[in-house]
Amino acid sequence: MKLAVVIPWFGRELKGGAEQHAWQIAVHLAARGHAVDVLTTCCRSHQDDWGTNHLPAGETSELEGFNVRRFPVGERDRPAFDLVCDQLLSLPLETLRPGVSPVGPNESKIFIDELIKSKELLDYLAAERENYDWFIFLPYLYGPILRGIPLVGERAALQPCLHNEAYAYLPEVADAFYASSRLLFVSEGEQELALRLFGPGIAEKSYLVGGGVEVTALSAPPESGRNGATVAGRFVLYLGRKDPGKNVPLLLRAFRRFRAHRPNSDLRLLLAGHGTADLSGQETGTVEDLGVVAEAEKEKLLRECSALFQPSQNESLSRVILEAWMYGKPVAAHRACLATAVAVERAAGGWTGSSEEDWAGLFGEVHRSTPATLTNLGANGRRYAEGLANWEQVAERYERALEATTTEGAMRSRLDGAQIDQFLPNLSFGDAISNYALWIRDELRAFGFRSEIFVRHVDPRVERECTVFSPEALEKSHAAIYHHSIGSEITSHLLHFGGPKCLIYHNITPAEFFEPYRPEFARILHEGRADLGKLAPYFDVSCGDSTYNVQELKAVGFPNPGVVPIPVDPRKWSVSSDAELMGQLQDGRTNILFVGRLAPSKKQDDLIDAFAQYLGFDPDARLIMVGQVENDDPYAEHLLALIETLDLSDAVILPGSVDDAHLAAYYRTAHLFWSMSEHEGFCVPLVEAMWFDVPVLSFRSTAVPETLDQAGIMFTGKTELRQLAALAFLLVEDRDLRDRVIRAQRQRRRTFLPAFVSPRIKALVDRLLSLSRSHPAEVC
Amino acid sequence: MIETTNPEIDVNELMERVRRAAAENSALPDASRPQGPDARATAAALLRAIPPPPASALPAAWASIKDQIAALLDRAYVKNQVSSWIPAIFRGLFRRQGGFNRAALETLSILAETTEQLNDRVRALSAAATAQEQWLRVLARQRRIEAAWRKVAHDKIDQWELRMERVPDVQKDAERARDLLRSLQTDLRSLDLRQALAQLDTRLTSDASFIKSELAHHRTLLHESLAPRPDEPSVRRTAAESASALPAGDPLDAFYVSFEDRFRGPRSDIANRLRFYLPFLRAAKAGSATCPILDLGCGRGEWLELLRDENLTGSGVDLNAAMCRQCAEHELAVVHGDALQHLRSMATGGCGAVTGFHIIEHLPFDVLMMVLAETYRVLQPGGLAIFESPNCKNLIVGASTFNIDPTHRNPVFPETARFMLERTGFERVAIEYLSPGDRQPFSQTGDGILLNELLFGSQDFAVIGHKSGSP
Repeated sequence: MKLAVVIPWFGRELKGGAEQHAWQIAVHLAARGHAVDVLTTCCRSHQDDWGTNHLPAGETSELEGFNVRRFPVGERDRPAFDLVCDQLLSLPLETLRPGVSPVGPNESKIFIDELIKSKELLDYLAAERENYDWFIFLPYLYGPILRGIPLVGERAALQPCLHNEAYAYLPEVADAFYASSRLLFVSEGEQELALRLFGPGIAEKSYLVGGGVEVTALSAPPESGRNGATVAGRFVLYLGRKDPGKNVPLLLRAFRRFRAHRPNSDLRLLLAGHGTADLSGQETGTVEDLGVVAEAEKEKLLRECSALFQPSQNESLSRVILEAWMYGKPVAAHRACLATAVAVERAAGGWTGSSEEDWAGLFGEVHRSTPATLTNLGANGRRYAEGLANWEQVAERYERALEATTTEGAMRSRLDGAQIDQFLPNLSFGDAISNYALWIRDELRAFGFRSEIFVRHVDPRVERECTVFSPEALEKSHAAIYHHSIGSEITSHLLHFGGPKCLIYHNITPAEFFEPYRPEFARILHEGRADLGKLAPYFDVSCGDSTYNVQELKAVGFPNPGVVPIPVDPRKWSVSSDAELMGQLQDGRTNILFVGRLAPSKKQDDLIDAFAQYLGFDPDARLIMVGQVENDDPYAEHLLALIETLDLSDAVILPGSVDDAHLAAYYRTAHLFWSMSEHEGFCVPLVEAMWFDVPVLSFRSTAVPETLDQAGIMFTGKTELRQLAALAFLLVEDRDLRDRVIRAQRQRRRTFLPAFVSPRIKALVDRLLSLSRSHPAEVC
Repeated sequence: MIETTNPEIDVNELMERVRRAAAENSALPDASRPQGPDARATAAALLRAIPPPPASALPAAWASIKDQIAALLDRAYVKNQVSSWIPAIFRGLFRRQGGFNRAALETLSILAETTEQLNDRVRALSAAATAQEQWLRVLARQRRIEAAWRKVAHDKIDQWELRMERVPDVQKDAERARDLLRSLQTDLRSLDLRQALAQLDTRLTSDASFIKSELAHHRTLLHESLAPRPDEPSVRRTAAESASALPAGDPLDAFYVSFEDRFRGPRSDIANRLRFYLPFLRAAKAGSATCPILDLGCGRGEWLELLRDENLTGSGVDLNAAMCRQCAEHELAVVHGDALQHLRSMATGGCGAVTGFHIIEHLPFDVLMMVLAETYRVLQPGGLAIFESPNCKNLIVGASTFNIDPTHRNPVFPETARFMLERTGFERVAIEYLSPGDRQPFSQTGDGILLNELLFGSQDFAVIGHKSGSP
């Protein structure tokens, strides 16, 4: 592959996570035979003035077998930048909300464009985009990166080195994440943070590549450094800058607390690194600040410590944690720092804590643990670190991430000539069946067929996607796919169509749900269901979107129906969610979400009753029921009256049907997806909630168990509403339970990725076409 | 109710937690959490902290350019003026159009720039206003929540006020109950069950030891009658025969043991009282193996036991066989026999101390004088003699309680005792008054003091003397 590594500063000697990372991947990818160009600026380093060209522009070659191209930096408006930067830095972390820009659009633009800029570099990217297979951009924050990504289109791979900091919330950053074709993360924690900040749209293009760490002299004998004498005995080590940003004061307070509980413990705390720690109030001899230590001394400390404590909340991948693991030492990390906490938990290589009390407890843990326990934890960590941090393996994972092709791409074949059309009563905007039909059309076209959609009624927002049905549309030489829910005049035309045809059944809601509200509609449903049996002899090929639906087909006499689930593609959320709504919904209140049109079968009334009970546990919660509301619908009126009676007007929101940007905002801010629905043929929102990592709580009915499988939590009764509310509350509040549910949901949701559903459509089409070959058109 | 096939979730455990949470929630008193529509308004447990106000950067103050514009307009005006000497109809030809235009253009461009800046400012202000508005919305919601909370709090206060009105009645009830309890306690105390039990216990002990002694006596008699050995005179018999006027003889031994158990008090009490003498022994360096202590009339052996506990060497002699058996049971060194005889059998100067508790009042005067003389003889130089006896200066003791013991002969007057010791040769003879009465009912002034002393003063005294020389 021809690869470009794009980074604002580059050099063999540069310190810093991203700079080191860039150097190492350039070296190792070049060593594996790839042509690597590093594209960078003439500015020397992050520590130097970003408007000055310290180094000459032009191309140089490195001994390690790759080229470096430097481009001059331009003048920047430093005062304007400093103003915005100060503003961003002054924002407390807890005020930042995903999807909400912390500053106005002008400030955001100034921050991106006046930090470091190189017009020449951007021009080069635009001009040379065709000449590289991939551009690896890193880190996420700088103008050349954020402005460069759109210039190279689908060839952009972003290695963000993301931190939870104000800059990460700027809209330009989100755009860069959405625009990149690949996201390469150094740690699982960093990946989790990105998912939280940018939503599930990025999930399928995210790859964990890891980051290497060099730990040398593992077997070298201990040297006697200047602190040779003081390193005797058991101690916990902190390595790094000793400023409040790294949470060192918390560590010191916790240690004092630990000493107060265990005054006789021989466990000490040693700190090494830049800066000075405030040791006032500490017992003499128990804490020592070693200042900056030489590499050899650092290795000695790592070799001899009992554990390494890293309390910082602001790390993408803490190198010292990996180093400690390489030395077989257990590690404590801050629970609020996703990157480090997730790594420690996955590796089982230590402990996590958040409060001062937690950290004091962790000191106690080290004090109590036997050497064998500590060694075991350290060994776990070492296994994890070796897997993640070996540069050879990192480079290999880069190759895999960049070379991976999507499964659907691989199975594309050209089948020229045939036309397969779809017929639906109506195509509307955003509903599951319409989206399904559109996806099938795109799949068919991708397989090489011609394909159109014909409908009786069309929503103006999607009118360009389809043609209004007329009987002439049914051409015998074409194959037809008919989506059946309730009968319409299209049905009879299809019955008499002589070409190969297939019926996709989307289920018909049992009429009795609607009888109290809309008797005339109930009658239509009733007839629709009765008609289904009559259709059976006319369709040789049929399928449903769930086994539940397929069973109904079988029951009325369809021969051999297949299952083709509705695909849910998270990539459709690769756009910013509605920022205003994101801001409003992240106000500290709990958001309970249900998505589905307002219908008696969906039992929104039950949900309101249950929610009233839920308020007993969480009085400030909010219930959002997204879904189409029809004018003068008696059921909607019933719901409104119920809300009024229960005095829940402040707590229940009915936004109607919404676009993807709004829907994404509702999902991203939801704490629980709660369904009381008693009839679902498939229930796409369940899968969508899974993608947004919203725990699902659903009444066990119809196709729900099949769609959820091991994911979510189901309940079988509606009588104990208070218990149900308690369960919902546990799902909202209990982190551990949520994690378990979400883990299962992350597994389950992949089943419905287009890549997995596509082969089923292909099989269905094959059956349909083989039919047309074996029985040349006959009129029924 | 819960159903999941997620292997990571224990449904039973989760259900248990759900039940508990539901029960805790429903366990709230009705007043704080009624059912149905009012649930939210009244469940007032949570008041959230108000979020911090938005950090909206207001644009810096902006200098007015009014003056600048006015100056430019003035300049334009001047440029457009034409000298007055030019006839009015020609003036149009002489206006300095170029200068006017430049000034006007400059004005316009400044205005355009200003407009742009004002636009920016308006944008920034509206962003700040949006942020403020959001915050106000948050505040408004907070106010609604707090209002609801206040309403609940108000209702609760009303309920509490109602309850408070009932408090005086409750207090009265409580007082009545307290009085009842107090009278019950008084009744109970007057019964003094513990004391009654202790008395019963003492009595049982004395009965038991009486029965045991009687049994032992009869066993001896039986043994003797079965195997008589008239040719071998027993030491005990000899001692008994040579006994003085004391009513001696085995048949009364058991009686006296049980008598002591009843009237003298428990062993532990006696031992505690006797601790008083330990410092005197220590000062006289008595109690070592070479200066042993001899206790005359050692009785049940409380003193000997105390000496042993204090690592002091001592032995006793007693005429009462039952008492001697009790001492032997406690593994104390005791000789059964007459005190005077025993003293006479001992070497001169072999004892560190000789003690006698409540023995001298049992002896006839002549025997007492002989005992004192023998005591002086067996003591080492510096040796110590201690004799304790009822204090007849206490009128109740002298006139009444002295007579409890039928074997008492005469009370020995404390000063008389001291005189006897001094006459025998003892030096540094002192009297110690012991066991003061439990109460001093008379006033602590004038005659009261005398009355207190005469009736409730010390019940015992000890006379302590030293043999001349140093230990």
